[in-house]
Amino acid sequence: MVKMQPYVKNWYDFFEEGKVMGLKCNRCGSYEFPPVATCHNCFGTDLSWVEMSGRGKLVAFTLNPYPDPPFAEYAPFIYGEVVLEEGPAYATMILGVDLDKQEELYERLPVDVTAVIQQRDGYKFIAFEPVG
Amino acid sequence: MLTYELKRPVSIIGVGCTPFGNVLETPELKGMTERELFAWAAIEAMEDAGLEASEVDAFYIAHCMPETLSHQFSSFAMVADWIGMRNKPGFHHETACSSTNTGLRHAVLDVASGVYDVVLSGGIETTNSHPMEGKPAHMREPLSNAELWYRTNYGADQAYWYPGGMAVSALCDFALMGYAKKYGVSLKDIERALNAASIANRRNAVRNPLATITTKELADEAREHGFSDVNDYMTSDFNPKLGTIMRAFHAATVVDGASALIVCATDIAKNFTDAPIDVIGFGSAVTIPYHETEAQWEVEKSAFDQAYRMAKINPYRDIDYMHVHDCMLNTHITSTETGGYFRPGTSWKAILEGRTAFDGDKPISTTGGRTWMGHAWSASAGAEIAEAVRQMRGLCGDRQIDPAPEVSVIENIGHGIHVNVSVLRAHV
Ligand SMILES: [Zn+2]
Repeated sequence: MVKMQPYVKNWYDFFEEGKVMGLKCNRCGSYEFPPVATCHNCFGTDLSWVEMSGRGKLVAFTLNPYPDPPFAEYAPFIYGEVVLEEGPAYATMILGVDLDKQEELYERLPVDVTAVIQQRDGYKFIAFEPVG
Repeated sequence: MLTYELKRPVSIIGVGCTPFGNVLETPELKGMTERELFAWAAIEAMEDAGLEASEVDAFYIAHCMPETLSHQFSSFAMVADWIGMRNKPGFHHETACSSTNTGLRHAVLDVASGVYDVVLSGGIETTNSHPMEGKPAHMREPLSNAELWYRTNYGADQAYWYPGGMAVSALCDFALMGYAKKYGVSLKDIERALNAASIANRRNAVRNPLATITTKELADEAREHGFSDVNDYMTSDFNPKLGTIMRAFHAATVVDGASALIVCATDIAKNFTDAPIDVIGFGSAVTIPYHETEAQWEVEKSAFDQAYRMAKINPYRDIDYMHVHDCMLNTHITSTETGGYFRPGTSWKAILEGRTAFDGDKPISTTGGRTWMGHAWSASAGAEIAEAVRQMRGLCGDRQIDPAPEVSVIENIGHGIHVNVSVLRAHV
């Protein structure tokens, strides 16, 4: 019997509790962030929820000057690629960046970032911001 | 066991492609629906192959966003009567912007399996407009670029990728930042290389009769706007930034169009044409791009490696022509290196030196690319395969690669994402 659960819903629900959660493979110890039902490393399907550090490195970014309507309220914003301390990579909004200093930010890459949970209309999502 | 071998060799014997433009405006296309466009490309491919529909055993139609852009699905039935395929096997498929490259693979596998001898594979997309609600298919109204991209981003995973505020320019800028850091290239030089790639693409488009959206080279366009240096024009407000690095002229222009090709078993190809083009390799791979943290994507490397293993070629030595998926021009820099057309860290310089022009020693995307022939979603890869076939046959007029390529590689990346690579070789 497959032990499936609503992973997507649970991931977002954890944000409501202020928790950044991922899955850890019980066979090889790899992390899945965001959560999926199969380990990308060993292909095992026995994974458990663990709290993530929320720390990572911004390795690349872009300006999103003309986002789709759902994100128009944030325009223009920085969208970046973050490699988490635990290994997985994820791309999302990067907050707390001066848009006039994109070249400086580029020169400083990789930049330490930390997770910030953001409220939207009816749900919360995860963004990151530079540390310090 | 994976053999990476076709049980029965397969060749392309015919190609067809409509002009790429706008069915509401372009004189050659005006008033046409998806049916006339697809039939145009398919019938041209059949004529090129020297056969009629009675000799085609099955067909594929790639149609990426039929519900949004055509207000229907079941695209197979939409075109069957138009191309003489009533009561025959017909299939709709899509892998987003790589669809008609994937469609070649589907057709090849049908023939390689021994089930069919001759298969047609084509694609259609009308990106600039959509039907009026509840009206017949020829009654269309414009669709704004913003609305088109909003709907096209249904191709991005809606659980995790899209909700972070997904920026399409990330696909370009992330890879270029990784590249610039890795090889110590300044962002200024990266921008110059992107501009040069766009200039080269435009030069090809001006020479491609199927590329209807542009008629003049970028240097001439710059002069008309009062710029004596085309690079000044391309860093001006005429070419606004769409990302941190990427500008408008580094990105796709959307168009309407259709493409088609016909494959058959190589052992009977000479019954139809004197110039078959053998399909000697293909590879496919999928991922979500946030897994890619380097300039050279693992998903592209996987697809290229599969294709080269099947084709038994050494990319650094054997490739005469490469098309890379240039809906964003970073691919002329990054994908060409992942695909072994250039040594790591050298492509940007080769582009600046003019080596990737049609008359350079490492030509790329002689159609004019997705920037200036334009991007017709699922139909474009087939146009790019048709171009490669015509280059290999020496039919490309004043944009002809000299000498005609013997081995061509066509790489496409579909939103989502899906990478498909095909390797073609002139039949000897
Ligand atoms: Zn595992």
